Amino acid sequence: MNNSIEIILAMLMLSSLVVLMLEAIGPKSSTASFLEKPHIRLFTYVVIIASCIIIVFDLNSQKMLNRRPQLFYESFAAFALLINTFIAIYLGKRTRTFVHNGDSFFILLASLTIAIANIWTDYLVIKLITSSAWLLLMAALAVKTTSGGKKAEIGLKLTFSALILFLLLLFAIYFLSTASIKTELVNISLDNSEGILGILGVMFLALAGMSMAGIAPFSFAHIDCADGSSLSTAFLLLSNAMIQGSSFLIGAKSILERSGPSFAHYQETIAFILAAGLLITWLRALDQSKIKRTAVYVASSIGPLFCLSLLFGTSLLLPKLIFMVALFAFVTIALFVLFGSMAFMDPLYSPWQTWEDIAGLGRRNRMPALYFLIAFASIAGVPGTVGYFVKLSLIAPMRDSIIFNAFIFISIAMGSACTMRIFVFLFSKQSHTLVQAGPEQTPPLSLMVASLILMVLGFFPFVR
Amino acid sequence: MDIFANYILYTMIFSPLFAAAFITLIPTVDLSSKITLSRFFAFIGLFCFLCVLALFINNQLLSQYLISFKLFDFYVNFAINITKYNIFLFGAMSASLLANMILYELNDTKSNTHQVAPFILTFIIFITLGQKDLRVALPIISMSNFIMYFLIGYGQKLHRSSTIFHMGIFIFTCDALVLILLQYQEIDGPTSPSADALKAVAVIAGLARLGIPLCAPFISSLFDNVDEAEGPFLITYLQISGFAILVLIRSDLILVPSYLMALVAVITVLSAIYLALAAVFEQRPNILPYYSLTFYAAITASVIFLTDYNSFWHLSASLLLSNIACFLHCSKSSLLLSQYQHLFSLQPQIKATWFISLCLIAGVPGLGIGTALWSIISLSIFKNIASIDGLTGSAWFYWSMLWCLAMLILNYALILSHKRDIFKKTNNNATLIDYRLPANQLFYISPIIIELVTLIIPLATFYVSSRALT
Repeated sequence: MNNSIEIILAMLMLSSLVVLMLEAIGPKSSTASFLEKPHIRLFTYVVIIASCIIIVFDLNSQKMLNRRPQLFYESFAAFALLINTFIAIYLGKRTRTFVHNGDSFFILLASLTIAIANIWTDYLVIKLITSSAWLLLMAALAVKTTSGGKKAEIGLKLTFSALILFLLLLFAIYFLSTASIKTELVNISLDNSEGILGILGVMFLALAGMSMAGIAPFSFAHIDCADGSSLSTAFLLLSNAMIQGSSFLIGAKSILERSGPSFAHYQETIAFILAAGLLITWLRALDQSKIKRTAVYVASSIGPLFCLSLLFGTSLLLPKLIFMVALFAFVTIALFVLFGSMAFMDPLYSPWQTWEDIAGLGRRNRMPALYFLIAFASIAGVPGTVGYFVKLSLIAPMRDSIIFNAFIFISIAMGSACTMRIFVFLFSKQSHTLVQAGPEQTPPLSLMVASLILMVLGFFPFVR
Repeated sequence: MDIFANYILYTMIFSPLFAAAFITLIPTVDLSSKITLSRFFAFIGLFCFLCVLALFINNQLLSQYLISFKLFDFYVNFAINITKYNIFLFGAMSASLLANMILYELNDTKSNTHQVAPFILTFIIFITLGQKDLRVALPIISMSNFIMYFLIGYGQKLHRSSTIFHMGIFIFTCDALVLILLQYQEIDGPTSPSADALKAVAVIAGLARLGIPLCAPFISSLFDNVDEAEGPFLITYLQISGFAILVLIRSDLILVPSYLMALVAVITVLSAIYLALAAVFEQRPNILPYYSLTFYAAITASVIFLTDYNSFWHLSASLLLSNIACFLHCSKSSLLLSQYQHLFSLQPQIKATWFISLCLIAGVPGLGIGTALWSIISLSIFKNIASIDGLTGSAWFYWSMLWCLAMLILNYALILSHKRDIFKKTNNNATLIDYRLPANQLFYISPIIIELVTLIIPLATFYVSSRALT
């Protein structure tokens, strides 16, 4: 149990109620954007920053932090969830979508609270409730911040995804409790006599994690939802889903580790499934003609990569603590640059759909297009970017599995192809329709710094 | 003296970066100021290189220059190593930058990126050349390719998009594979199969940048789709980055494994024959210098891997520098052919200069590239050929014969190119007006300058090698 997270949970629950009251008594806005209701936005910012400060102070007081940072995974994950929510609100200012009602801030804070609770708890039953509830809340948020006819599709798909997740976790609880009579993750361990039931439980837990993280082929609802909803919602859904999904996978791995060497090869199975998911996502990203859908596929490819690196990645040059921080930072920064640059590329005057529509945009709207390309290249793992070293951190630990490493290499090759395709459209081709687009938009300094981090850190070979 | 060496070295490394900053600050349309500043900084760069070379010859350079700073709890070290293996590559880049600035004037206002790109690329290659570890050098070279793709993509050529698409995928994939195999080598050791695979793939990544057709399937498309004015510098940049990779690999190998020798020998000779044949069928004079550059780059790659450890660096440097000098001159000649093809009064001069340019790249002993080429052949190949017998001797003999055949075909292509009517007929009477001085007078004596340069290069490299050995 982590006291600081308990305090944060209490604070967030209280804040959610306050925000709900403020939203209830305030005038109904015509937009669901986070741009509206500045007092609520300010309040939310303050709560998130205060929570972040609590976590930082708590982590700073831990003596084991440098030696065994994995013990504090919950704190890191909670911190990342808070930062992602902060960024989502910030991005929301750029992505206004007109809908009829808005309890966005309440849903946002409630989903954040549930996500942190999901990370924090070790009880599988609570995880089952929180993870399903989080997906339903995200479905609600996506529906509220989406205009047009995609609402029904998004709501339906995410609800169905929540149902699948519920069932997967239910099976996991059933098999694990049958095998070891325990449902608390830290206490479950298997022995050989428990045979197939325990393994099934662990595998269902891992599959639930993949489903939660939106890793193909176990969930495409995340991609449809992120594609249909606003950029800020897409960012929030994908980033926080990955972090929560990884907690399930860490739980599954820790059970296998506790269970002895005879279960070690099941870890490789999990790694293999994740690598296959990475490959499938890139394969799908390659044949997309729509801009946002391609970007969402590319963004969702971070999920398996993040989980793989968190579970198996190593770096000889970086301390464990820094490596772990770097992984969380990579998820947040890469997604921020990807969706943030899209928000600034988004022309208010002539909306685009396909890559052909924005051919030559890099010549007119240079900086956002450049940041977008950097984010793409980094997620793809093009040599010379941070993403490449994140992928490289997996090679040494999994050196015995040629197929796994081949998957990583093929994912880089496909990522390069995807990056070059985007590059050609943005900087080489020319579109006649794009002439009508508005003036060049200047992205904020934060976006520039984030994209520089993605690129400059790639020149330091911190993974050997 | 140490402080002086420090200043000179850092000026050489960072002057392109300062140039880029200053050029950016000048308004895009003020081309004359940009040109002056570009030439000034390019000259400073070459001057600093000559000083560095002099310091190197007199053993007054440190083996490593380190810039170190602390960022939170991390020490970030930025090391520049000047060794006998890379010093001439620094020179090649500095000289290419200056030649580019003199030969190709900024004549449009495309974008600031176009104006500063040569300096940025030079800075990047300087940083890369100073590295001893492929893990550091390769990602930097890889990312710098984006600048090149941007320049090519900004042009008006029809198939530029597909060219950069194919080139990007191929080169990024090669680089990624090299870096992954480097991880395997780290674990398995330098004598493992993964280490052998690494060497082979790294060589292919290097040869791909040289444009060797068997390793770079995109190369003919690239030649067709680079801009006439920007192309020579970009291709030179690619060549130098390719040689940087090859030299980095070779400098770690005191004895080259036989499989690697065979791989390089087969790839280069087959590619040379392909290039020579392609040159025969090439109708456009402006593409011919690219074929010639790549042809001699293939020979240079062979020299790196087939000669001994003590001499490969200066022999290859001699050939590389001569090749780049002749290429830059010849590509400028070909550009003038197209620019002044309608000016009848200048046709004899232009045609004569073009003929001499072709002679410079024909490999005639003592003329242009031939000066370095034949001295290398006499120094390395003829010296060793008597000591080789048996199967290796036969392979060596057939390999040499194939090279001779390739050279013959290339020369045939050059003769054909000169015999073709390079000046297009026109019915427009306005173009018959006698126009006296469209070209710089210096251009007519430039073949003599290039001939002098190609005579000096082998002597200089030989002198440096003799000093380095003592």
